Amino acid sequence: MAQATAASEKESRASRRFEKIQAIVEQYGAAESALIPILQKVQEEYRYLPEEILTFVATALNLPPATVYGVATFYAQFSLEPKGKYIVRVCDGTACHVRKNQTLISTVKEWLGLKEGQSTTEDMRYTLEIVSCIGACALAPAVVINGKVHGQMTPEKVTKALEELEAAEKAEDK
Amino acid sequence: MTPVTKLSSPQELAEVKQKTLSALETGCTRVLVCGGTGCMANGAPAVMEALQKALDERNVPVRVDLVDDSKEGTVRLGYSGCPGFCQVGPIVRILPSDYFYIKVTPEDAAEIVEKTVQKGEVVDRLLFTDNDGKTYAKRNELPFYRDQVNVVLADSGIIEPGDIRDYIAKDGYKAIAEALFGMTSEAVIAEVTQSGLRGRGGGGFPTGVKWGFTQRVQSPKKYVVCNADEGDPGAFMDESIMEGNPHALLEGMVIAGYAIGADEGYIYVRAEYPLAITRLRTAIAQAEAANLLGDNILGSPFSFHIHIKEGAGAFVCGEETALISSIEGKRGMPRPKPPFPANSGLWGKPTVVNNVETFANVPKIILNGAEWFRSFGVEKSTGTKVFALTGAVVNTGLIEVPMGTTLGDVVFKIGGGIRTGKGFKAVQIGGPSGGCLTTEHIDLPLDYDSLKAAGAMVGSGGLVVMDEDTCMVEVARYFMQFTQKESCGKCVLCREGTKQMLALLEKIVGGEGTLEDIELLEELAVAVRDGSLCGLGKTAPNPVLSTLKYFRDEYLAHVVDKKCPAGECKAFKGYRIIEEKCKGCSLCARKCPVGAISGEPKQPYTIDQETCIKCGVCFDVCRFGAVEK
Amino acid sequence: MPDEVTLTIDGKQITVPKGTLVIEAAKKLGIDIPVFCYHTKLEPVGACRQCLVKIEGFPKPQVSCSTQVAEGMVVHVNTPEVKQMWESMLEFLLINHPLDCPVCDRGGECPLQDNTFKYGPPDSRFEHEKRHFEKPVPLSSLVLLDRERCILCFRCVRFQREIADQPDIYVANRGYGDYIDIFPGKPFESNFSGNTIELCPVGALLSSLFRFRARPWEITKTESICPNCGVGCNITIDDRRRRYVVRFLARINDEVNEHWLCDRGRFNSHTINDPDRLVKPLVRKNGELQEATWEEALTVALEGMRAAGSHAGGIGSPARTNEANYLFQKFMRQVIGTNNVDYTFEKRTDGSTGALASAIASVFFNGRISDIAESDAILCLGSDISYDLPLLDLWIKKAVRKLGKNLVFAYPLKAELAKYARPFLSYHYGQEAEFTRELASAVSGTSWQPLAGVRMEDIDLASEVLKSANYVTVMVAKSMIESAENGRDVLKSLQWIADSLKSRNVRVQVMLLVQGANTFGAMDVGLLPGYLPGYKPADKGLTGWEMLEKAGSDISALWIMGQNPARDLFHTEAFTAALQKLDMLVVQDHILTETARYAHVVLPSSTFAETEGTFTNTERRIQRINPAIRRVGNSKADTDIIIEAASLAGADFNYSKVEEILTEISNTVPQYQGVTFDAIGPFGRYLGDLK
Repeated sequence: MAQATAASEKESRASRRFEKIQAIVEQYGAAESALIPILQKVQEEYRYLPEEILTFVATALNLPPATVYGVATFYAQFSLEPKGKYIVRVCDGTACHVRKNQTLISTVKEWLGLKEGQSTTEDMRYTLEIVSCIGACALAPAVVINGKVHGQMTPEKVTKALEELEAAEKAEDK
Repeated sequence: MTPVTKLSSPQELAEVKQKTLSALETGCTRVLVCGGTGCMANGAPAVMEALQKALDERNVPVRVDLVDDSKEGTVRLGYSGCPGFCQVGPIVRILPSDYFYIKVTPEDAAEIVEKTVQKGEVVDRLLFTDNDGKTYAKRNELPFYRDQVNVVLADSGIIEPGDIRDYIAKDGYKAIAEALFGMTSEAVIAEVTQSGLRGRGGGGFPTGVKWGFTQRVQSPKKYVVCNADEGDPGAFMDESIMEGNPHALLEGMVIAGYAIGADEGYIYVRAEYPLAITRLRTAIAQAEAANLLGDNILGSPFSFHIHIKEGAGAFVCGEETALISSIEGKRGMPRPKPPFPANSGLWGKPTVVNNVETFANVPKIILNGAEWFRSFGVEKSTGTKVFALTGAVVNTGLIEVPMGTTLGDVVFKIGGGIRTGKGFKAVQIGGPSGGCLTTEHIDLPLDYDSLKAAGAMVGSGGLVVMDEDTCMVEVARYFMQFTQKESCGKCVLCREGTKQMLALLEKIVGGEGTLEDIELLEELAVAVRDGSLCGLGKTAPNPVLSTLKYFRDEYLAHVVDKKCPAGECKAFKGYRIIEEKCKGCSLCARKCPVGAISGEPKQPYTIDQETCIKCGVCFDVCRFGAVEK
Repeated sequence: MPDEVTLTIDGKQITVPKGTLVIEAAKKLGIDIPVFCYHTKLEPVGACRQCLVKIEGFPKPQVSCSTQVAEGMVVHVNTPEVKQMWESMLEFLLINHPLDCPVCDRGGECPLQDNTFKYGPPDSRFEHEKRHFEKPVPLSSLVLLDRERCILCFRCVRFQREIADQPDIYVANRGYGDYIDIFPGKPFESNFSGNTIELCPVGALLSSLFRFRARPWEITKTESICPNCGVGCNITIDDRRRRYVVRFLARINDEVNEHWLCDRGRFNSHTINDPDRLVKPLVRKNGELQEATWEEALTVALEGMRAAGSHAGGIGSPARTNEANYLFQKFMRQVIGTNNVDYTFEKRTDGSTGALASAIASVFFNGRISDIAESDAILCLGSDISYDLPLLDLWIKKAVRKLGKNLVFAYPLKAELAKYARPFLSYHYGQEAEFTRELASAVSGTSWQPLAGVRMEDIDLASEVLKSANYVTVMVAKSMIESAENGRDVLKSLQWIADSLKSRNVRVQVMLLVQGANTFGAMDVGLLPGYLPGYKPADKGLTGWEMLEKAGSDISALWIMGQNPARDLFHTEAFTAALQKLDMLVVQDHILTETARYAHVVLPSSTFAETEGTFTNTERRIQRINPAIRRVGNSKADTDIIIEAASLAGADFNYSKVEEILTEISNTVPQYQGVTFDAIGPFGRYLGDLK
């Protein structure tokens, strides 16, 4: 009995999920040219592109799943792996690079406890991304934390910003 | 805000302009907070809020609209586009007095309102002060602006991008009216061709000629595409135009559409520019409501629609055929040309692809004429060019200068010379596709042909100034790392070539390089340049080739003497604390991002070389000169 | 000529049509330019950069695969500078390509290996670690991928996208991380996947059936024809030591299959190599099939058949050669003395066979495969072409997708081609006659009522599409005429459509879609009840279906050559029961089929891979098959079995060579006049337009 309930709950969750995707597809129209905006919206919703959703989008747009997969893996913005709740983007544009963003990267890695090759923390709270120019060159070096641009960063400032975010997150948890 | 509604003739457009101007003339004081990405990130929203509050507290009525017959307040508060001098943001500008306040904080709001808005006095402490202690009250007096010539950026920082009336007041959309009601499409193309305008995205192809090709192709459907995928790291001029004056771009595209016979346009914007996207969407909505975009523009038979497509993070989409693939929803991979987009572009239809700055120049050319445009710049590179000036100069930000301005003027007059007090070494121009210029190029005019002859390129206009502490091999490695990461992988030369060049450069900066590696690197660079499929690959070796040309001795020092002359490459350096000088203040230990420095307070500290990542923070922060490299 | 340009390559002048690629012009002059990504049938991508040449006036080298010729162009290929570039390009390609040629299936027939020998560097200057991938990755049960060997020429991806329009494989990731992939968990299940293996210029895509089975240099190649459907794709049979067929490859024939094969044909070599192939004749003794000598077996068979006389029947096969089928009907008619001959046991409606025979005899069916792409509109009736005749599916996709032609597709179910159709007409199954009459009425401008389930506006649209074309290809499934109720009316309507279009000055070609590799030939050579070779009327006989139906009553003995009714999809039980009622059942086949298990005599015959002869395909092109491997055990060719049986019966079947049978056919069947092995040549001879 309990199992049956769990199964039907899972099913209804799944169908709710696809309803949401269906709405996104309807918003942009079921054409190949809408694929990238749809994937962007899906990623906004889930923080990554789950495989079954790629299949769903392919069917909805009448595209071969392999084509959708090819597009999803081409663009840097898309992730097929789940990302953390908060994204920390360190800009690696020229201006930031010449103003020593490398120190910022190692500071963030250290603070998040990321190992070599790891970009998302184990608790799925944070993902570190090193991105090409975000166009805030005059504020170099820049770090985008949770969508907010922080300019003229130093290791102390970035640590402080992360600590504030963590504190807010903890307060929310309570 | 009252929207401008359906204008059905050029006369009605002129009326809106008149009304707006007379509204502005009724003694209205404008308080413009910079709304560029830089200032917004630097606290502009808080400043805006504080200004609003300060005005409310003093019961200063604030205007919502620029409509003359409304009985509104005397102050108009709003966000302007980026005035370019991002380094000193947040910037607040007061019109008509043109006071230029820098690094404004919310705490300054009350004083600005009391003194400047209410009494017309200047707040001295918020003015720009140069190294000699001289202050400058008005924008155009600032050394940063004094030598600039603003055509494309002329209205950025003066108008509010969120209000179409502001743009109309500056003769916005008048060029459309003139083209649609007074010129044939051939005449528009002739004017643009005459002006000598060349593609501002880097290639420098004559815009009018490109339009002419597309116009002559018979097709019931054509497209105008705006390349706003400004991917060069360190370049943000297109971003600034879209944020600061989005209507100029729209107007340029409509004129292009009229010229070539297209009724639909796409703006392909990097997703990394969310503010630009928002501003463009607002601008499109306002222009559509005003009948300056959409069906039967200004009551003419001509219709033109503009859509926005967001990029998804791929530098190669700046290449026009890749960009077209991406708009179509495909992988952004370039394809061989011909066929050129003029014949077979978006969805196989004739397509004109131009960059943001190019389009933004067009309305001015139509309004003022080709001859006027030719009065800026030099014979074969007419008009002005916007550069993003960054790096080791005193003043950084966006600058606009006539084509042909010398490198020296840009670096020393506008840029104010080297910030660090060290010597000027080089400029990297044109980003990862460009090359470097050195002290020998101080008098080189910055225009398409001179730069090409010197082995560099205008590119999209990134200008990074480097001082003596910058290692040119490392610069080449940085750009190669960028292009290697961004190669789409389609053609072998670029895919494998950039990877191998990067491997060789890493070997050299890592202290393992040999003379043969330098030879192989150069051979590879030539092969990749000559044989690659698209612009990305063809230009990827430029940083390598130009640094090899002008700084070969630095490469040699790395492989023969095993030294980095600039002292930048980590493999050749290590940090050490000089015991005698160390006061044991613990500052370096606190700043070290990896915890490599340890010691007891008041005792000399030591650096654990195993843990040290050679970032140099300790060297930078030590106030006693106790860290040596 | 304004549409031609003259250029110079390596000092030699050549005039080619405008728009020709430099590489194609060079090819015409016999100048070799190495390529990897370029393929004549695929859109150029300029990815491998191998084909760089020097063109005067261009500061940089140009890729000859995507540069079009221009008047007065001067191209240099054989210069030290160009050779140097080619060497560099090969060095690039080899940076990540493993040196595992000794264990690679492609070794010995690998373009990368060959070009490296010809133009490549002696050694590599790059010393870093090559890319590593898990390998090989199965993309499907048939296709394996070795990503380390892949040089990313994208031929496979392009083929699937441009030609097959089944893009199940794709490039994943970007830049240096690019690799070929499928969607996770969704295998590469295209009908044409095998072509990607053949297109692969390295050993990255591998056939799971061929992998590690043979080295290219120990393979013998034999030109032949695929026996699996009516298209008659040109193939080469690759065998090892004349004993073991290792694979089929496509043989280029631009009028039939271009460069391609379908997977069903390509991967169907296993029955030839079946370890249970029959090696000796079998005769039923005491209820058991026991090995016997040829003489013994044939004697028993003859006795049984002759005892039945006019109550005997013979069923040949649409997958056997013209020569075998011709001799078979001659043997049945002359030696056994029966009129009951047929090539099939399909159920046919009354009179349809006669109607079809006269239409064929009057050359109503004159359609050419290669003209599918020439015509402006294609009317396809009653066949799921993608399944029935897969290569024609590619021709239609090419016409519609690449050349922008119109397809009118009529079929009860939404088959694969429906999505390319404008319009797709889904008529009710069983109402073929009504439907075709409606279409014919619309085309001829006669009033009509919609009865067959297709909307009036769709029929009108179809009629408009056909009428507004300059050239129309009509393709009709034979089953629509022979199996459908009132199939004769279908044929009449078709003639009506063709006549109406012709009267509007629309050129029309009609193609009869048959499923067997030699269905057309079997009919042509007289293996038809009531018709002698060349559709000359003969005394009435029973059809194959009727023979089985009347087994035990009118029919007491049957000789079945190369068919297996006991495994028929729909009638297994009825057929099996019928076979058991016979006094004599002779089965001629290469394995002990379900039908053979009920036989009194089983005669081991050769497969097409051991046989010489001809097939006539769906467009009525006669093509040659040639023996690739030696006969298995004591098995014999169909023709030899019949000749031996005839001579045992004292008949005068004097043929010393297979070609003599063909000569006899060409003297008997008007359309085959003058056909000899030589006249057929390697690419076949089209007979559809001969009266």
